[in-house]
Amino acid sequence: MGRNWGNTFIVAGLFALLLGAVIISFGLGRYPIPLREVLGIALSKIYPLGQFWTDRTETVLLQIRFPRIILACLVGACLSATGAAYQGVFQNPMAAPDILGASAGAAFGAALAILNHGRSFTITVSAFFFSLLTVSLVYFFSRRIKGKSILGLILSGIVVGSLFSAATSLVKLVADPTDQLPAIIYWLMGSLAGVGNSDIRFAIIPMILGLAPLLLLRWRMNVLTMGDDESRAMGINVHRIRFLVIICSTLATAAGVAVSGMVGWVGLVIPHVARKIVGNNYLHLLPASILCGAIFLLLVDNVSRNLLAVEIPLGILTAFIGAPFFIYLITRRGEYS
Amino acid sequence: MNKNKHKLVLLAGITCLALALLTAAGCTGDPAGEPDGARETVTFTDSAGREVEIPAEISRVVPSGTMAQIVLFALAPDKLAGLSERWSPAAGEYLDEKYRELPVLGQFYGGKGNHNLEEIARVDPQLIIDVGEPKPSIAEDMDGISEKVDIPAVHISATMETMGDAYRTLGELLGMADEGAVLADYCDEVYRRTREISEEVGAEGKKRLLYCSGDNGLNVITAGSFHAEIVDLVGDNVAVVEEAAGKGTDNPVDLEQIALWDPEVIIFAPGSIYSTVAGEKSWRELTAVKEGRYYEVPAGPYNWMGFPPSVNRFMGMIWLSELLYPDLAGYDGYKEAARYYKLFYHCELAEGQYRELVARSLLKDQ
Amino acid sequence: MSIEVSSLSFDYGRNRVLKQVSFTAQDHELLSVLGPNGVGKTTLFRCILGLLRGYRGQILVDGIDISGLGAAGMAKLIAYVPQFHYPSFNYSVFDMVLMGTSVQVSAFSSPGRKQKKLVEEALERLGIAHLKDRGFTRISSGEQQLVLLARALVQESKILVMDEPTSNLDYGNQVRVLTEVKSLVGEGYTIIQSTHNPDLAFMFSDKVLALKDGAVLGFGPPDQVFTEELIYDLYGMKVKLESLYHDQVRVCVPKNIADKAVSPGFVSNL
Repeated sequence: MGRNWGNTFIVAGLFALLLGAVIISFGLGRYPIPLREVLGIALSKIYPLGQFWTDRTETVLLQIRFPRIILACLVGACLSATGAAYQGVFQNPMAAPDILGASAGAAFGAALAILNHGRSFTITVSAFFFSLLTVSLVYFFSRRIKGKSILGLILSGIVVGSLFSAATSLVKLVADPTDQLPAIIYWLMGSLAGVGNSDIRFAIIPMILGLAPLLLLRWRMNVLTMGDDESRAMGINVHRIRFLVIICSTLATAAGVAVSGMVGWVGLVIPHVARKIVGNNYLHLLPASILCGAIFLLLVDNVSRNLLAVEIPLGILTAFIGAPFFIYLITRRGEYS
Repeated sequence: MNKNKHKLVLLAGITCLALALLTAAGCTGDPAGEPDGARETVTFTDSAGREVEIPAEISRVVPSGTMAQIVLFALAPDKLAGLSERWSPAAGEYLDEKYRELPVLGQFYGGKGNHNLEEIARVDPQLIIDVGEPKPSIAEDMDGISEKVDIPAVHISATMETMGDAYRTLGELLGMADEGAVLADYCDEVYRRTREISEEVGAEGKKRLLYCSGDNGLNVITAGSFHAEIVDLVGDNVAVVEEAAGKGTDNPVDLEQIALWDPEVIIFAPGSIYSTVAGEKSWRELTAVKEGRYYEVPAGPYNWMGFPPSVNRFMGMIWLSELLYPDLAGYDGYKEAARYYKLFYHCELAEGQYRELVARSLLKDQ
Repeated sequence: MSIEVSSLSFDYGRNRVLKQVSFTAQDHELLSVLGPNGVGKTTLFRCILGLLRGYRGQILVDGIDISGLGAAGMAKLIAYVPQFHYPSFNYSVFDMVLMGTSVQVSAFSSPGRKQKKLVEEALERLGIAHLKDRGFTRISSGEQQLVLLARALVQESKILVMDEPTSNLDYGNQVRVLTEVKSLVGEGYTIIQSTHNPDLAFMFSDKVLALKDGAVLGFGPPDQVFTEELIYDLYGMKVKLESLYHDQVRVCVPKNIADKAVSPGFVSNL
């Protein structure tokens, strides 16, 4: 059990790392805010403090930087937690949060809302509900496929997902090329530019409703990796657990993707990073995935908003970092491959 | 081992964090502190009907997008504190160096874009200006930006027809009423003249016209779309498609469809297949190509026909009217262009430059 | 605990895989199921484990019809030792065995101190305690089979169903695993295993069930069921059964080899 205790410390360490990263991120941005003022503004929220910063500084910190940092962490946490959960319940190391079409559906919902001149909140809501709708369709069809349930889910995920992608392409085709089309394209590239506190208020409830049960179910995920027959023989109601995991993961993914747009690779790569760090036992793997995902996306978003005066879409950065890193990971499989 | 305790602590921690975030997100909606009393402000009602408190004297503005950038550059180039988009490389020939070095802040598209809000805050303009077609979401979009950066943002709605009014409003807003009036009168005049020509030609006399783009020339601007405004107005846009095909403007079609439409005149977007079309067997059979009535839209620094559909289109109106109906229009191409470039790009267009711009865009000797 | 299967039939579509299979197994019994590949052994096991529904006939465990039981109810009666396969993800031996206790904890929690103690005991019992922190894929195949056995033990059900527990083991490990199995039977477990090795089946089993084309070819104590005819019917191979140590052990020798060996001057001990 030495390993378990070691892993508990690692998870605690990751949490500390995340906290540190969050604090440092508050001091980073194109708009210069000294750390002293960051702390002052933070402190003034709980303790009356003489204002030694400008109103503008406070607005930028609270209206731009705060929601962005928080959402980067939340989206990263959701994507990698659901990635890890799906890898377990689908017994497949290549599973990612969008395997059941959650992203494809969200993309279509967002594109449709943009086409209909939706306000930015409408776009988020539309992406969220189309994401849920897509996964429900996938689940519904998979129940009609005879034989192996995992294969059925993955196959109908591919089919329904590509249907929605085609529908998104259709929307792109008819969208106005000067403003709607670029808006759709930016959405598909994923970005946290322009998110606000209203996005946090919208996303945090489904995110928690998704993540909390996943955390509670994490021992069952271990058993599910053994395969359907074995886990059932060990007394697990495989279909019910998998169904629960899919519902929770979909809630979390849909909420994440709805605010961030398509951010690829996080859900696939980060769980594998976490596997390298704490092993495959979900008791530690899931918390570690959540923390690593939050740290990763926070760092990448920091690059996205700081590197150039214009934003670099987040999805592009995660792909540029994620893909080579994944190749590095799979070419040197260690003990916990 | 106290696994359960450990788990409880973890969950409790996460819940606390979430609650903290929720409350933090809830309470940051507080209005920021009162405005600086030292500065005088006025209330301005923008085209979206929003009452916005803005500084009485404005010397630094940023555009919300390329459309606004071009409009504002014509009126107040020295008040621009930043750009939405880097000027095209071709702009180097026309625009003063200092305007090309302004910081680029990205474009705002309603949903996501590449605009960097913190960078906008850092550049610290007094006002963010959006110019363009009014969108249903515009009021909320403008409020959203200005709430996040603590800088007022206004929307001035403008179409080809109302560009004159837009310039008058902008002139008033920026304390440049005279300059605004000059541009407004120009826009009104060109638009009115274009309409007159179009009416004189009449529905019967209009040239059957097609605008083709794309690297195979097979994308067309369909009649009735926002981008087809000039093509529809000056010519008889043959690209009429059913509503179902969408209001898209870069609609892909095949050559058979183009042959079926059989336009009298084809204009190609810059960089499309103007230079190679004569050598292509399939295109050569089209009447317009066979008879040499195909042209390339001049571009510099922007496409005269739009993209972005900003004030660059007024130059397009003049060019297209003159191209299709030289007898009626009677424009002096160079003089008109020189006037336009002076007004909107603040540069002296040399005759050589003009020749180069329209080298592929004028009547060929037959 | 006893298991009683009567007139069990199962169809995959039009293909009848099990035909009227009946047998019983009591506690203190090791039942070996023999038969060539594709004969329906796996289907039979999946029916017994409650993984396949829609069979005809009846399966009673201690007199209770299992068709009405859910996964958790089944798991408390019968534990499953699968054939070795590479897991999707590698776990430590300890975690692997701990999974067997899942039925004892609710879906939203994870095994606690009591379950961990069970695991320690099972590992100790099978002599693999020293492996507990090793990765499952990093130990020998004999050890892996023992880990899977330990996982079934901590489930605390008294019937074990083992799918070819010895098929990919070397001879030493086969005997090692079967010896452990035998001693579990001695403690009162009811164990059903499938095997391809008639010699070992005879040596260790209390009962043998011979299946061919989904039907029972023979069922009973090994010394009654094991005949040269049965082996021929099962595998299409003529053998000579040699009895050793007062019929404690029977050895199958392919007929052609046996005929050569019993040549003039060669004294057989028949």
